[in-house]
Amino acid sequence: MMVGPPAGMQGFAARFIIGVALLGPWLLLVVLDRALRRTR
Amino acid sequence: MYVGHAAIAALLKGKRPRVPIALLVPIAFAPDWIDSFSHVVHHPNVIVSHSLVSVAIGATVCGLFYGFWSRSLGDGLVVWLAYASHWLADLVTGIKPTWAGGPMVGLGLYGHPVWDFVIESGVVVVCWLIYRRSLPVDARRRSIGLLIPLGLIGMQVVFEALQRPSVL
Repeated sequence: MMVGPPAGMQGFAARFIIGVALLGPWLLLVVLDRALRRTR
Repeated sequence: MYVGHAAIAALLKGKRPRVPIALLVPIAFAPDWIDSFSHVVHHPNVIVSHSLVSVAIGATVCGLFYGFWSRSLGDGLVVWLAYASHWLADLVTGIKPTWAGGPMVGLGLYGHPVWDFVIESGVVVVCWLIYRRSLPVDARRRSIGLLIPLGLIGMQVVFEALQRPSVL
């Protein structure tokens, strides 16, 4: 699917959901990649 | 495609570990960032964000910039691939423009949510397996690593449910 707001949703709520959708995978991968590559 | 783009960024990180994943993920999502921004300024234009021509230009600009900045042709190529992969990945699940006035191409699986989910999940698992090989041997055994595919697939489910509540 293309990253976009739910049908009919506009304004701040739509932007919030798109922001979370775009930043979520980024945050997950940055945090876990750093944790996995850190030598214990 | 949604989380498949992040998975492809992870695959490229696995192939070129010195390129930061903090950069590769937003680059892999760049057309979606452009599309989102175009909506914010009330001038949405899918040709500018998602056409073959615009992706080729964006990938080349980003790849050249990072290649010069890192002084590495290989690093620049990886950034180019991260950006360019967006159009190819979207081609599988969606229908995307080629150029202004050109044909729309793609398999259009957005209308088939089950197939969309199966393909996205498959891309996530395959990319994660390749990414995992770049990790130190002891890190590959850590269960926290499983959070990458499970987290991405979970985000796919949540986002699908938000966009099409009737699917679940």
